[in-house]
Amino acid sequence: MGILEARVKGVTYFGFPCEESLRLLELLRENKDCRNLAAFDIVQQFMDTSTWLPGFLGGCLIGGGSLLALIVSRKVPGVSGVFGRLLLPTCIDRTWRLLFLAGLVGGAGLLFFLSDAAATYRIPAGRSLFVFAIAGLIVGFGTRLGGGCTSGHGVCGMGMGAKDSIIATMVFMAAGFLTVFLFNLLTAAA
Amino acid sequence: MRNNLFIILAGALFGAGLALSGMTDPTRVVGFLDLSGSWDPTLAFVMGGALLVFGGGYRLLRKKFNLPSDSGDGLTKRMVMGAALFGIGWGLGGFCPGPAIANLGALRTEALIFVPAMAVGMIFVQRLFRADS
Repeated sequence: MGILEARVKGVTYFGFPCEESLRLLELLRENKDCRNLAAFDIVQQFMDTSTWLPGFLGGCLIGGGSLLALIVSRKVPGVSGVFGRLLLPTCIDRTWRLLFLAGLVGGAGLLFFLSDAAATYRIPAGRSLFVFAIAGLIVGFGTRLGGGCTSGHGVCGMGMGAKDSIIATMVFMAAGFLTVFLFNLLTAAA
Repeated sequence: MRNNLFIILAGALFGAGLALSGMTDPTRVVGFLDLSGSWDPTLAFVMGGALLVFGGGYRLLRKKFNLPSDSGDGLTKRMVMGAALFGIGWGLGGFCPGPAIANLGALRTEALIFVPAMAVGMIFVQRLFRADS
């Protein structure tokens, strides 16, 4: 069971799908001649428990892993900080950082192996390997300059009630929304 | 030794959570950041679950384990600029550091390119600003 989103003459409706609405959705998808159904611009599956429940449970695991790492390492375990400080020649606590990252790769790998859904991996439209190289550079630069990423600011910092992390999260979210908007605009024009 | 096992477990929980929630799929992340068309709300539920467990657990266990408080540098121009840059890179690739590293194990080409590039960016900042924070 999910929630259906339907746009009828420019107005968006949300609702739980009933048998009839699902049948209509199928008709719309199959019907090549939609002129008699012109009132419907777009009908799409909006939200499905098959995505938000694993999302929520996965989030709980991320929070639990971060909490355990905080208790054991006594450092805020944001991934960019854990990884970035590993690259410092003066790093004196390499062991736990390496073990945390090894666990991260292993835990994700185990889920990839166990579940086809978890192993889903789709390259976003229009992204070449060059885009990923540039994105990596900017993410590395930005996270160390800003002192955190989605986990360090978004989960740990905000979870500890740090005001600067709340601002940082709002800033990187806004920048992310804007970037995707502009990327779509530019790739559509090209 | 016991602590080492716990830290591996912590990383494994984190990585399993990333994969279970679909955050290792960059298209799902870009789907959250793309407000036009079919918006994918999954990332919000992931953040919600993570904040619930981490924030709740932190408050409950803070005294018992004498946990550190947030060691953030406070609100600085540098921090805001860094966060904005991070957001741009995040929107470009759909990768933030955790999911990119998690995808290394599966030998995804994009992650194998993204992570070394990220390391270069990090080393650059750490040299430039002598950032040990």
